[in-house]
Amino acid sequence: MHIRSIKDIVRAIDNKAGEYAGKAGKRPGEALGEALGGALGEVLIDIELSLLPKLALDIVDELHGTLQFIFAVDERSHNNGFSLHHIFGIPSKHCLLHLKSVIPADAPEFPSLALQLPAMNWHERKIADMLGLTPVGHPDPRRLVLHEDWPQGVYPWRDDFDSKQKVPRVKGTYEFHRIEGEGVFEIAVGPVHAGIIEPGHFRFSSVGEKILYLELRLFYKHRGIERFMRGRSLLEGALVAERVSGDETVANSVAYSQAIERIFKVAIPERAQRLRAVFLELERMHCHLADIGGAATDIAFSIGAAKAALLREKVMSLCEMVSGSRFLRGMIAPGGLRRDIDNEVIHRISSFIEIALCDVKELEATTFSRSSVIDRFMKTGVLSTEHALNLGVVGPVARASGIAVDTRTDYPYGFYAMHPLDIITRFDGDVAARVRLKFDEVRQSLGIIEAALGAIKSGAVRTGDFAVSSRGQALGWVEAPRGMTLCWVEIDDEAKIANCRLRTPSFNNWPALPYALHGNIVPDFPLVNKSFNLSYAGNDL
Amino acid sequence: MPVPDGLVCSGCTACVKICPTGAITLKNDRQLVFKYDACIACRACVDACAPGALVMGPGIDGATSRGALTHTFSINKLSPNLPEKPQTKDAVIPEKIKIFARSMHVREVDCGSCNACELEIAAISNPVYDAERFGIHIVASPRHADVLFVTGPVTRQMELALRKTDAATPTPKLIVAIGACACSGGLFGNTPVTGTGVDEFIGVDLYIPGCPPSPRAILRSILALRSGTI
Repeated sequence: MHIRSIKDIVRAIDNKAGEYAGKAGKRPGEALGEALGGALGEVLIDIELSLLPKLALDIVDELHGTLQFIFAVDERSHNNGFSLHHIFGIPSKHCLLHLKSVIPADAPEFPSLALQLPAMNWHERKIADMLGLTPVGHPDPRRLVLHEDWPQGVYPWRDDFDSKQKVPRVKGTYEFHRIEGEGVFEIAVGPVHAGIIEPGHFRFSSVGEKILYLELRLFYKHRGIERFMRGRSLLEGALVAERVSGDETVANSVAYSQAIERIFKVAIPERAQRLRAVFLELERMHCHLADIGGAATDIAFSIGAAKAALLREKVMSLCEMVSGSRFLRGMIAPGGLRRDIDNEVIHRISSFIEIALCDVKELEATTFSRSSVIDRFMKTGVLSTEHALNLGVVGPVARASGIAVDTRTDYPYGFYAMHPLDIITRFDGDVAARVRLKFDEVRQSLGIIEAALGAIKSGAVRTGDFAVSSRGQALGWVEAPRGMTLCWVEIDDEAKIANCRLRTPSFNNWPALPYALHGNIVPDFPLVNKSFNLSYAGNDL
Repeated sequence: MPVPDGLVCSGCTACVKICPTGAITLKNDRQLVFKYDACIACRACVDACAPGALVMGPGIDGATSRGALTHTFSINKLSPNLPEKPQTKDAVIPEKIKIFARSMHVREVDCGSCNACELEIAAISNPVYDAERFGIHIVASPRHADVLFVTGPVTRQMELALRKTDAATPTPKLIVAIGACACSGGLFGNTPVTGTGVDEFIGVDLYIPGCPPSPRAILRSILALRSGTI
């Protein structure tokens, strides 16, 4: 279908939904080629590059979509250009709309949407850094991922980049935004921080204690993961995905595996779907508990921090008992799980639920019964609903600012397609709301684990023969502890990874942090930052 | 981490071929060499071993050199246990380590890990592992530190920060590389934007392998270093 306007897009989505509705009754999952059971999921539409700005704004205005992810791929060897991909989430249609356009090789630029859709600011700058494609009309065309000592004209995602050679360092400078006025001074923090935290640089402009402006300078941990994925086997891809971000091990490997399963049109066995959900929720629990404990640490509330650490340690030990790895590594692979777990282990997880519920209740009572906690948490680091929406914020940070988004409900996959969830939201948008929400979500996770294990049957945990060549590309999506993770994979003729693009929730949420800090005092920065729980490794890739 | 469990190895080299970090090599057609400094404990070799001659054992504790983390096994007669550790009774503890035997102030520097190592290092201070009872205390500045814990393969964009942090730490000091990335580059090492581990840039006194090493392994390795048992 030739796409000319938003009406054509709506028609394409509805057609596909109708197609799925017709088949879903017979062989759920399999017929869809989705392993998703009923959800529409990714809808891929080719469009003309010149139509992009109009269509994008119409999708946001008329379909209430949010632009989630922009990436580009060098296809000059077989397509005479670069492919440009815009992924929108349209929750009302349970659809991840994937618009693909082509940038000609002789005109390496594309229209920037960052002025109208500020959420795309970093996405477009990353494409400029990595592929040398210019976002025309971008309000802030500085380097993002590659620092100032990276030479001009060297683009690591281009096919002709030599990935065996070291890149020489050049002299360069990075211009921070300058805030001027009487009494305004700058505080430079990092990249090496005072705690056991990942590296990044923060430049505060403040007057007295009050923060006027915060500029983030990240990507110190850039490991070149997306380029590194090229040419890897499907198993290696899962191992790399597990090691993108420590406490999102399961989320990233499931997102990657779901993309592969969608390329090969494989539905994984129900036991594997249920166990994946259990692992995803265990991961969410230890991630949230680390966060709750971290917020307590940052206000010197030792008893809360100690209790949270003890409970988190119980979850970590359980994960180790289940998988041999405290981070549940080595379990997820395309096609399901790499190995089954025995019923004794399942029983141990089930019996943990009750203990954990008691501990969570006690921890929450301990935390929120102290006036010192309330004093520090409430009205601190408020992220308004408007800012959260405009910046495309995802996950618990969005939900604590009153935005009901959750990948598990909006674009259900795996076990979540069989087990609908309520989206938990809070409305204050402050540290207290984010911490409270995490308590709620830990309880919700325990409920999901109980439901997933309640009706689990024995059977296979892995399916699919991925050796047969099947050139193709697809998107995988997961609600990670920090929000929606998107992983796009392209496979070549030999069942190796041709290209991979990953967007972890932190990449969308980092730019919102300065907005939550505006007008707060510098000593509250660690607390607000902790309540956002942003991953540097997952952001820097 | 994978260890031979005493069954007969067929010499098929499936483990060598599948290892994503090249941690396993075949020497002279008769010896399997495991470089545990590069092992990410991914189990790919264990899954690939048709005769089932490899099993996942517990983690391997730290050592003072990368060489000491390399274990060689004769194939067709894989030994059931790891080679015995050298006698430690009369070990002479170097002066530099001895002065930190009862009190260690530690600064952590992340040079491109996935954050799993940071989470495990942070966990050694929690009430379960309670590193403070051993006099191990995490400090906020390299100026206060006796020891640097370094993680990650050392990314291009963290190299300068690592060198500056090292320079800001007063001597005598100990440098501890934690995790497969820091010990050897691990999975992500040796690319245009990453190095081959911490010792490419600054001297390392203790290598703690694992992906990530557990809080127990980190603590055991530090205590072993202080007591001269490695």
